Amino acid sequence: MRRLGKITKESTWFYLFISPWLVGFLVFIFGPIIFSIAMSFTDYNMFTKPNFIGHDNYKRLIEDELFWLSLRQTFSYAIVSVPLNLVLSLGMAYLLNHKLRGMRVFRTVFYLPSLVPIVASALIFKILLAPDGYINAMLGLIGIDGPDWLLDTQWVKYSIVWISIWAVGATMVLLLSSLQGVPQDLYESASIDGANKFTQFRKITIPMISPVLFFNLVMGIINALKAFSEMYILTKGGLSKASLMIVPYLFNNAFKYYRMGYASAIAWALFIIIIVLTAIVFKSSSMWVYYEGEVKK
Amino acid sequence: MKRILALILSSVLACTAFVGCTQDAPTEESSTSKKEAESKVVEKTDLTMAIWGSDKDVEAYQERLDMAEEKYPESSVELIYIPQEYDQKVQTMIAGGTAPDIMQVAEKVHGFSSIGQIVSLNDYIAENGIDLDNRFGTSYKTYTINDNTYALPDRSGAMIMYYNKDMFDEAGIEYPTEKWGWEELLTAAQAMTKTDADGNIEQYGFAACGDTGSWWPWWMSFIYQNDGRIIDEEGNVTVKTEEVREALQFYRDLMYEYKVAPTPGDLANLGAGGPDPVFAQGKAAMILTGFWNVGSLQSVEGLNWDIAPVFGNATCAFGSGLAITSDSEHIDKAFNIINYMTDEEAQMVIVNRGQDVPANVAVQNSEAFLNTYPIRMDTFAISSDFIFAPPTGPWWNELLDTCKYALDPLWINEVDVDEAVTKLDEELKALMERY
Repeated sequence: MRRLGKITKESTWFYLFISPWLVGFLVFIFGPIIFSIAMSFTDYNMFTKPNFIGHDNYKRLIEDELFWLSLRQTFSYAIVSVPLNLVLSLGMAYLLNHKLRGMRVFRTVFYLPSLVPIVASALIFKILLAPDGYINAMLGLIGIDGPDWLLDTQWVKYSIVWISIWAVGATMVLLLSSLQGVPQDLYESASIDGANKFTQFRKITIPMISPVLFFNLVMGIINALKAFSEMYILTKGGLSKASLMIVPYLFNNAFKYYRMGYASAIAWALFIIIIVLTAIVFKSSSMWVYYEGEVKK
Repeated sequence: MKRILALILSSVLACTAFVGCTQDAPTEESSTSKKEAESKVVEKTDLTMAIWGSDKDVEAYQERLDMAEEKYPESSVELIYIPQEYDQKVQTMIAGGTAPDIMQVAEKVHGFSSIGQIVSLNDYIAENGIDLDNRFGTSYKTYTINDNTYALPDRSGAMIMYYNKDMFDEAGIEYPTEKWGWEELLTAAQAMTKTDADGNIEQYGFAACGDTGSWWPWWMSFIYQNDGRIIDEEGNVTVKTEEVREALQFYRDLMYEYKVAPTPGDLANLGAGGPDPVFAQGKAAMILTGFWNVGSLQSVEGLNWDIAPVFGNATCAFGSGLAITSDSEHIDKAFNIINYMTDEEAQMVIVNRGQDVPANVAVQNSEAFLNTYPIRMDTFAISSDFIFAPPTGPWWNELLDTCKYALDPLWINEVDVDEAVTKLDEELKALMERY
């Protein structure tokens, strides 16, 4: 009887402490989510009463040329940006993991760009990405004739890959700390057995940091598909629809054309796509992600 | 002790839940209390008026409202200043039952009129014997749809041409007048475009395109100047016509054929977002933009410039009007106020403060306005005769984006005019079907 009483008291304190967050979640996150699903089946334009129109919005979605275009362009961007980010941040983390003098300074320096507000970064890159701008000048040094990054319809969607690389410091820091968590004796015993650096990396490092890699992959995919601010600021809606991505398109529909119902449908379509991709990554994780303490058969 | 600490901590935590629950108060509280004190004697109707803009705009409106209240002592008007996201805020107010009586509107006017949120002013205009053409020139047509006028123009500066006097003098060309057509524009632009020894252009004769595409007033003016329309009065899409085609061809040729105007690529290389900085830096002889550039150019040293009416006998206007919401319970009193605000006495305040160009044509022609700046201020009055009304409606934003997607490839020379016109025709027809 006394034991039961103790638990009840503790749980009351528990609920009391998390109540602010709980209320916030219900009111500001969960509530709007339900509202948004409901709105996606109406013709809500934010001002007049919404009328139920069944799945008309979703039907229009399937036939909407701009929706598929923006989806394709978002994917083109994500396919380049996500692997590139992972490879670069892993490479940088690996290099920064050596015990050399001044390593702390390097780590700070490489992390700093990710702290610069997106608006500032976008404005800087607008200048750098000009047809005769610095990025093309650098590419010219190694003999590449750079395209008009922000004007050429083929290349606009890749122009924000540069900004995502610029902010690679954040992912790098996560990977760096997980690299440092790998026990040194694993490497020692491997080199005793005659493994070279490359084999060590493949067989020890990668599996040991795979949980963090997995996390970054999932988050990377989600963030790449949701890209909005960089695109919006860099191209201000941009030259032609070559820079249109899914979230900017959603934004336009919701706040410029006043088609909130349709925009909600786009949002949920995007949600389903992301969930499916994430599920695929999760399913595949059993093949390549190792958690500490797990015993692999 | 531990329990007390726990109690204090948890109550602090609970309080943080309410931290974010403050509301912004955009209304001016002080004026309400002042009016309450004054209005003890006279039975006053309280009206509210929503506006956007800067602090200077607020001061200008307040001055004019004070004058209006003297003329109509039975009304007292409180200004509701909405500096950001004006449309969202006003719509929220209307939906929440606290609609302002009077509201400032611009091109989005028909977003409000189409869902019945502002009233047609036809009856009141007739009752008060207002001659719209006389008072406002053609600018009131922007606020008119289906023969109903929904707002009285308040501020209305035509898009004008800014030109560099030194470059004109050097090339020996006479300054532009409203009699200019495309030929005169082209001849002058060609004479004033200079290339350096390497073949790079160091001075452009004309600049009217941005690095992220063309602003609608530019290309649309060329269309109207050629008697073309993208959407005619009945709402039909008339893009696939010779007039529209020619206009777009000429505008595009200025950049790629005659090479007198900078392309989006050129502008990106110059690090300039659009023509205005290029003109200010003395690298372009002629640009097209609104009244607001006068103020910024005043502080540029060494630039010898003036303004002139746009060529081709058609230009658009930028400005705003005053509308009355349908939820207002004092529509007739509100109309008296906006009638006064757009009449000569109150419009003079706009001139005296150098705030903008007044919509009232008589005031545009007044000595005071003509002397505001040492430039050809009569340009605005002259232009008021040929201001065209763009096809505004609830579709406006989406229409602009549709045009952008169809025409942008033309401005970077990725498609030719026929392809762009065909695409625009298709897309606009699809868009207008939804309305």
